[in-house]
Amino acid sequence: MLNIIWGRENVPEDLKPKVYLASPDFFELYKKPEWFSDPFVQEFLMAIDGTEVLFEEALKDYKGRGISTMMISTGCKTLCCVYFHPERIFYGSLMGDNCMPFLLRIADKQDITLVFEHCVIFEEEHYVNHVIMNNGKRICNGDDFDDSYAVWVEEKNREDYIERVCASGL
Amino acid sequence: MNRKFITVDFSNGVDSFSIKLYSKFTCIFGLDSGKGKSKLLVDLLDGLVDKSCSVTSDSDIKVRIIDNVDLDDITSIKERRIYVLDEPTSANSKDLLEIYNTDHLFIFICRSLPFKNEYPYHNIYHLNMTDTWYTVSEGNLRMYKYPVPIDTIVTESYPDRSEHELVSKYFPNIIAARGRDRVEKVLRNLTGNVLALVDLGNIGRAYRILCKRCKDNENLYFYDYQAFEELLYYAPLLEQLPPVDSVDIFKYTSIETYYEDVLSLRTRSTDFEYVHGKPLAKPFLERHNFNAVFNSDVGKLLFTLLLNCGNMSKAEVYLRAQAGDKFDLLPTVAVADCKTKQDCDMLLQSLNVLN
Repeated sequence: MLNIIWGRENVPEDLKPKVYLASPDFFELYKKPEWFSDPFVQEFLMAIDGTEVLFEEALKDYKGRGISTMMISTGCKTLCCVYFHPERIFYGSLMGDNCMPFLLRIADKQDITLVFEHCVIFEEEHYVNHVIMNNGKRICNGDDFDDSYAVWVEEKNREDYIERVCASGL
Repeated sequence: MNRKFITVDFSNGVDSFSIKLYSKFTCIFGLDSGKGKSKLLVDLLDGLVDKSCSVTSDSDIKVRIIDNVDLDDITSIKERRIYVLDEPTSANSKDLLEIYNTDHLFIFICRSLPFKNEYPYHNIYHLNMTDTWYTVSEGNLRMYKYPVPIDTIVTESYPDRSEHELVSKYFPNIIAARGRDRVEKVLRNLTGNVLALVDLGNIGRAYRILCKRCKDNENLYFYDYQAFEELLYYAPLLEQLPPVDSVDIFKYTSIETYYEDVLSLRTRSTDFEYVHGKPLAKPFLERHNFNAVFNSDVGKLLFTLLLNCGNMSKAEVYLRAQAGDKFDLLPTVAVADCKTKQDCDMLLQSLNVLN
């Protein structure tokens, strides 16, 4: 199950210790060579970045140049973090739309929660074939998703909103 | 159109691309991952060190590339700079608020701006990698072009306010969305040719969801103006009032607020006085001022659309075309009484107002 939290200011207090918005930093600190031997990781690195894993952290980019794991896209770094640390809450807005099918495959196997602050695009089939939740409710189709985003994005009191964001500590 | 902007050029000595800054925040937007956004920053930082790259603006404002949100770097500099930053929103909110409140201009490489900040449609760029460098393309919303006929106009305002109040005088089928963030829901189920009058100067956080609406309805168009207040500000009706040149648009996070302020300043204590949230001043709403309100660089497409597809009688359209600027000299009652071409020609001849 993928649980979406719209906006860092809406992260419940008890979940805040699990939040790590800067996934590239987390990736740099905690990545392991064996991560890149995983077939799923190899699959999304190729699909998203066009990058091939040669051996552990030695990679070849879409132009055939040797690169390190630090040079993969932010989206792939975030996917790695979510995949190997599903207990954490990462920042979904670091991932492009092309990361979403892989994110949902991770969510099929284990419950994950992410904070989003942009309107990500899912296909209609994603809502049917996977469990996407927001605010304790299942999002069943694109209209439900757009409604949930619209509720967050609508601003009634901007000063109050900015205050809540800063007070979140995130 | 006479819009102020600063151009920033990014060059690697072989190729270059340019970005125009119309207000405080610009977004190099990434629909997908792996398209080179973070790599662009790395290439720029490396290229600036070995002098293979240059990043320059056509103003006297210096451009700085920084690879993380370093508060000291940004807040300690008082002279205005243009900063290029990658994914600032993953940084701590309090740090972001401090840099947000500086006088600097920002080009963010990200999918969402801090604090749901607004930025204009024309400040949205999509990045693509080429064999030799990068290119940028502008946003994906479908802009209105005449002579596409329009069945429905949707405004972001409340009924009888702002653009709804004005345009409803000339176009019968108009829906008020009652708020910018509600426009997309109104657009969701509309079919036919739809024109959305939304402030493109503030489209930032709604951009993606409006792209979805464009994908759902191939006949959905957006009017290219930064704000309704921009249309009013540049209306020929106000040409007798001196323009307001002293306000710095780049101090504003919202272009809508900029145009509200300059329009308010320009029209203060006149018959055209604009007050945000209040009904429009009468001269804007008078039918015989149609030309004087709409016939500007900002309004001309709307002018043509309303003239030809709106609720004006054929007689009125004919009289406007024949009389040109002198249409305003024709008595409103006499215009309304004209039913045939002969009536119109007699009216025009009697008042000697033919072009």
